[in-house]
Amino acid sequence: MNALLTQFVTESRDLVEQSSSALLALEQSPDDATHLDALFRAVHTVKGASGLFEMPPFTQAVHSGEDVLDAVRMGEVPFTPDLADLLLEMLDHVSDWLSELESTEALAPGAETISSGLASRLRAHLDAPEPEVPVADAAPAAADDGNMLQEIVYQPQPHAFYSGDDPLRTVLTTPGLLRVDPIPPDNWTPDGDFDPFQAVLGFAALSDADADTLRAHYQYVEDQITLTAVPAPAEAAAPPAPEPDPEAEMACTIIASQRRLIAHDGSPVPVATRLTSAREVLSRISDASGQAELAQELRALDPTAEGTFDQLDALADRLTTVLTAPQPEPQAAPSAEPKPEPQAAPEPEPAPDSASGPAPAPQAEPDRTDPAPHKATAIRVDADRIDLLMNLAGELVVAKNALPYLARRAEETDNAKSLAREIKAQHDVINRIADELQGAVMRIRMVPVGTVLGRFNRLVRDLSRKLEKRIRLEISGEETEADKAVVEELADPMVHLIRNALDHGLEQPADRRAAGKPEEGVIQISAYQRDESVVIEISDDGRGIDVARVKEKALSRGLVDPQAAEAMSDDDALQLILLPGLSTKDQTTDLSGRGVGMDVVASLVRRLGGTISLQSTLGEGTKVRLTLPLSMAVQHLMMIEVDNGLYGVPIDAVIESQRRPTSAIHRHRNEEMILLRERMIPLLRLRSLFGCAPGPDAEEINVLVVDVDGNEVGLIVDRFHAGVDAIVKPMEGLLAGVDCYSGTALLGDGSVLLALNLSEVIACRWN
Amino acid sequence: MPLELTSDVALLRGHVDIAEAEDLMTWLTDGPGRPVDVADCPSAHTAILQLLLALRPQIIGAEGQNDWRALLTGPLATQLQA
Repeated sequence: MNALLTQFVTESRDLVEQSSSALLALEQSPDDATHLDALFRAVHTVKGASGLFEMPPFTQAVHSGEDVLDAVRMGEVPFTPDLADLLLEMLDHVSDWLSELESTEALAPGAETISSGLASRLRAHLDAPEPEVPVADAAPAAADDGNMLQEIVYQPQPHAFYSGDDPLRTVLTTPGLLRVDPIPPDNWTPDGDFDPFQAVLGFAALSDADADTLRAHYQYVEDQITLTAVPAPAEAAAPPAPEPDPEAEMACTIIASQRRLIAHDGSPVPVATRLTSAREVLSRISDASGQAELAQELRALDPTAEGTFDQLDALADRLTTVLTAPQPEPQAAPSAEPKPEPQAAPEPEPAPDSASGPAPAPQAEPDRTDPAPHKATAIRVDADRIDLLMNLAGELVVAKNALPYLARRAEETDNAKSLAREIKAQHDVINRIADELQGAVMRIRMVPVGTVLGRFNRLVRDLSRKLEKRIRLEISGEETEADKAVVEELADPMVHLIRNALDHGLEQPADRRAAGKPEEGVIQISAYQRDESVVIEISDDGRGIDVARVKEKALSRGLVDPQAAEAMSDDDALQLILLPGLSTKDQTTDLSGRGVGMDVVASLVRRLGGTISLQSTLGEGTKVRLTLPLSMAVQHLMMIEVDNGLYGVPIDAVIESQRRPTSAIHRHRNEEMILLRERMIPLLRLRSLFGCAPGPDAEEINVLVVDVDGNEVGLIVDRFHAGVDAIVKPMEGLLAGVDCYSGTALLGDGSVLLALNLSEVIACRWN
Repeated sequence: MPLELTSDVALLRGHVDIAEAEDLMTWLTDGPGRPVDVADCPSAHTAILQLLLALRPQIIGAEGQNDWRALLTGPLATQLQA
């Protein structure tokens, strides 16, 4: 792709993000000029840069945004939540367009319409006496056949000359120019003396070029012109084309369908009945259109008489002709106000009258509140980290240079021992460098989680408006770093969790007041590092989870048996929520059409090799904790052997390994358990789970006790092997869907180790 | 010289740009009633046209012209393209 365009897309993406943050911050503190300035600057820069490329709809939309923001800066226009919505919508479209530009180097068709819609809605916020904004080009577009001309009214802004514009020249060079009339202002001296450098003279021009060509010609001053189609021949100041009457159109459609109805043969309904019904409809239309005479004639028809069909049809024809006759006078007055916008995108309105449940989001609108759609393929990296990498690469080169020398020595010497020592020493050096290199590269991939967390400001804002709840989002620990891939994968589960908190967790303001809580609900997201993991906590001060109900539902769905339920602590019972098939809400409130179950979140997190746990107090709030590996690469694995196959188990999960006599196994229904250090640990025979033939009967079993999501499980394996540090690569393609393995690793001898994802393995057992 | 100001008349020649507007305005207000000659001036900046329309001095040489000068006395109608 064109290098300039690539740069534009990257930079504009950044600017759009900056704009969004500034916009949201501005909403929180409307009097803070720094946010407004930052917002204006960012939008202004995007507009300017876009002018380098051929993308008028993009520039037009952003330009309108800039104009509105300028007016806000001057104090001419108030910054309302509606305006904020509109600006956010503009930014969303700009993001879409940037993606389109990135993949196809052009804007998708329909950008023009979207842009005009945005521009007109944005300009509606401006107070200045605006010339009427052209709404739909649809009608004149078909009229390049010489029947339609374009009238351009160009009213330059007072500062036009200072911008380097020469309106006269622009008008005189208009393509297809037929006529120009100067439009003198009502007052040549608005500020006392005549200022020759203030542009007050307007122009009206007539052209036979098409609207698109004219738009392109006037693209730099699009906000100062209006374009109207006029029928030829062009007299001075031809009136704008009369607006089609939507009612008359509808009436004609109905009449046409009635005519089809009565003409249709082979209908089971007898002719007379059809004629009666059609006559009724047509006479009502006549009444409504003020065609009393026709109505009378229609009513006089006898449906059972001969020839009525023809008469009815003829009357219908006359009615149509009357309705489609041109209106006696053009609707000049009503068109002075800005007309309602074309269907660019329905605005999400909070439903004022819905007492129960939030209004469903309009289906046509793509999910704007989803912060996770775009996965960037470029990373920002600290220059220091690259320098470190360079140094290590240099050291590696030096280290490898020692090897040819060692090889020569090996050929010459007889002293194997001393040679072995030297090789070992060199290996140590290379080992150290490899480790450091590994670390350095990992650090390059580390990005602050703030990049993902920051996007939720927008999500919370939009959702809280939609649900009519007052909600504050507090984020801490944004600098906490984790692997880029982990951070990106985080967005999806977090969106689910935040939606849940907003929808189910936080109560309506009235309920909160009744419960003695502050009306404004709080959602806290905090991130920190703990050992080899990054922990993200999402807590709310909402209504909390009713553990009793959870247990009840789980029992009734057969997801847990009564004894286990009895024995469970409240904390454990909370985890039941993560089971598929459990939803304590009887009807799913549809925030976005997605089924948002906690089990979905749990499996997403498990797939990343992480864990999820819940804490909740009824009436006070809920906290969800996600623990994810810092990096998805190097793992410390313990190797186990099952039926001659080697598998890796994360060392962090291993509690202990034991050999026990087979007789120590307790059987309870179909489950096997063993007593270890005064705890009953369920056993899992990996051979049978993996579908291998059962091993030879043995006196003893090898049990690897592991911790899976807070539960202890004993894995029965054939043999234990050593631990190994391996780079686990997730599997791709067809094997990517196999959840039981977190990936594969290459061992020193070239063989492949399958790394087990314990949570999934255990989950398999219950299926 | 695009703008030549004498004591009797202001001569506009070639293309008169916005830079000349101020001088022209001063000349026009200093001695109202003196004519402006545009016979040799097929092109000018909007500011010049604007100035002349605002102060309405006597204009010489604008008749029958098919460019900006036509706007000094009315509309400009070019030939209709076939």
